Amino acid sequence: MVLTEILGRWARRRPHVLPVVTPGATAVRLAVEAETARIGAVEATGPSDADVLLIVGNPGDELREAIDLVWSQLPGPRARAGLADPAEAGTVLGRAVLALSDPHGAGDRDRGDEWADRAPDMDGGQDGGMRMPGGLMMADRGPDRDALTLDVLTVPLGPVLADWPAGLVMDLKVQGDLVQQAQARVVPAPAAQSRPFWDATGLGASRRYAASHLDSLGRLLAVVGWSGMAWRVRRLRDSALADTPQPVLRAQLAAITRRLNRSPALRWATDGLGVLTAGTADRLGVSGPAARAAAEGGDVTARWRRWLTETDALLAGEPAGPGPRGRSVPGRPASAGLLAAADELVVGLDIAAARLVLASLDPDTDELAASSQPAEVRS
Amino acid sequence: MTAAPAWAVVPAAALVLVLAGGAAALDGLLDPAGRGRPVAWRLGRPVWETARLLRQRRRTTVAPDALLWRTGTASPLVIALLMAVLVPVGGTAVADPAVGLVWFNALDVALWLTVWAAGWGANSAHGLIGGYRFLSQALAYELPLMFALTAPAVAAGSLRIGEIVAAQEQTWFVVRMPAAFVVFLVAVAGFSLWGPLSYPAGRDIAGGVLSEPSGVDRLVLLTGRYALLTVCAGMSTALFLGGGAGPFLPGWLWSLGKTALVLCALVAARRSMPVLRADRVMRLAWLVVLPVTLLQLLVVSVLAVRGS
Repeated sequence: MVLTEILGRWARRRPHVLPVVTPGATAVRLAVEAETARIGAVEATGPSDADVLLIVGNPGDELREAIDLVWSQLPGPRARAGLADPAEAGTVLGRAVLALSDPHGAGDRDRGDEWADRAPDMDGGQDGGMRMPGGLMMADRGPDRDALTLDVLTVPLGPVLADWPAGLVMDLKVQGDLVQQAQARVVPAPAAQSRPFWDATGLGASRRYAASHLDSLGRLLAVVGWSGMAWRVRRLRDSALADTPQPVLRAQLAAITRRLNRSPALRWATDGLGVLTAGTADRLGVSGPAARAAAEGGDVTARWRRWLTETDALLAGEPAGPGPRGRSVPGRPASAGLLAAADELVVGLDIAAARLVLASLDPDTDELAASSQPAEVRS
Repeated sequence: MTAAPAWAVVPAAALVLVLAGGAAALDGLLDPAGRGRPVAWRLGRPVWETARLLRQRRRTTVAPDALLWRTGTASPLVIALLMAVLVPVGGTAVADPAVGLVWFNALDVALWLTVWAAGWGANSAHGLIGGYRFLSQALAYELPLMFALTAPAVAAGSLRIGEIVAAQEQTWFVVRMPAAFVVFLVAVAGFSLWGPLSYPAGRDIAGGVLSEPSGVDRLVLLTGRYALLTVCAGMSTALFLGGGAGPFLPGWLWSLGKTALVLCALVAARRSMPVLRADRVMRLAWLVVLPVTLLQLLVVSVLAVRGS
């Protein structure tokens, strides 16, 4: 009993937190990220790695279903909490972590893996009664790029995935880890604000845009696997949103830019990948940094360099443009074009490259959820 | 070099685990999360993590290949311990067989099968991709590693670790074969799924081969990763850094000190650069690293022939 108690107390000093972010809850996400960093918790890679499931914002029905499935996959001891107000991050996370070592609440040692057993049973008449292991479907077959016929799997990426845009689901048809077809969408969010967090106006707009680019860059660096640099960029993003003086921000940004430009490994990872030409950008209605990068090569490298250049200009006081992701028109936000571009550009890439391309376009799901709002209400 | 009695396996394994724990503590200290916490709190992270995983329930997946999965999960630790019997501390190793270097190489090739099995056995898309990523990564590092291992063997004229250490009395092999030393360390990171070579356990595929195991399974897998790093740091000391050679201090202290230094360098490299994707670095591995390793081997061979 004493040993259990000691283990529990030790275990909660290094909690692993899996945040599930609802579209439109960027402000809350930033608070949660800062709090996670402050208490020294680990951002979990997936359900098996998580102790705390943290629901950030108010999810809609579809996301709630996904959350329930993910919740059933947490090994436990586990705790689940939700918040919709950035100011609550500290108390909610603290309470969830404390609940982890509660011997009665979070333990639940006799729980089975109900999610592993609940796959539909396939025995019965319709296909000659062949019984599949675990009730799983057989994979379809399709031609691949080497003119072989290989299994095609349908794998959804998201909505719960580390370093992934909030509420985005990308339905992939893959052969091995090679993407044959992609279809991205954003899960509906009932409480999405009409104005996306990053799209500010007025005096603070330039800084807000700069922070938006840094947020995108941080996600890209996390996907590329450079966790130390992703950390630095995210902290710089947080200071850009706080009232750190601009010369300090620009000096830190310059140091980061030097490191990124000098890293051959980063260039190996991003050069020549996911080329978005000016023509395609035009056709899909992409404006913003991704379209401006088309003139500089249009690959992932050009896009992260564009973010660095534009962040520096914005911090130097350049006025903010029509939106951090580009110009939005009613009914078609700038990110819709980015999402369409991602669907096209990831085809033929492996999952690692596909994730990099998506991260380098970084559609803002806040914009997409907000714009789909009126249609939802009307129907 | 003297071979130790059979019971020496136990202290050897304990030493590996202690050093692996030290490496994990250093990694906890270097983790930027929670910088405001006291140093002791951050150094204790392997302890907190172990407590956490001991409390955690083992989970299963839909229709896993349980035998392959659990075997694969345990393999890095088992293989690290099997490698550890060769590593001399001062003048003593648990065993010093005539084919020591081949034993080491065979064990690192065994990881091809077992890490793949750890990914494949869970019957999950992310694990599967992770398993195959390991194979493609191994395709990039394995041949350079084999030639890098050949270099000290040729220079010493023996596959026995003890004789390789003894041959470095005049100059450490790292002076004669720096390229082989670097290739060895990179390959170690490769089969330990570490840092820039953690492509098979990438965050972009929710942890890859690490995406499904939880509880004790995960603890064993993560411990195995640190144990591999530790043992191979010890191996690099024996093969390239003169083993226990050094002035004033006793040999075992020199061995441990050099091992700890190499281990710290490996741990510190973890967050310092992006993950190298196998498909992008394959060209580099085969067109640059492999020829450089062969050239290195040629130089070493010519020196060995002229010396004899």
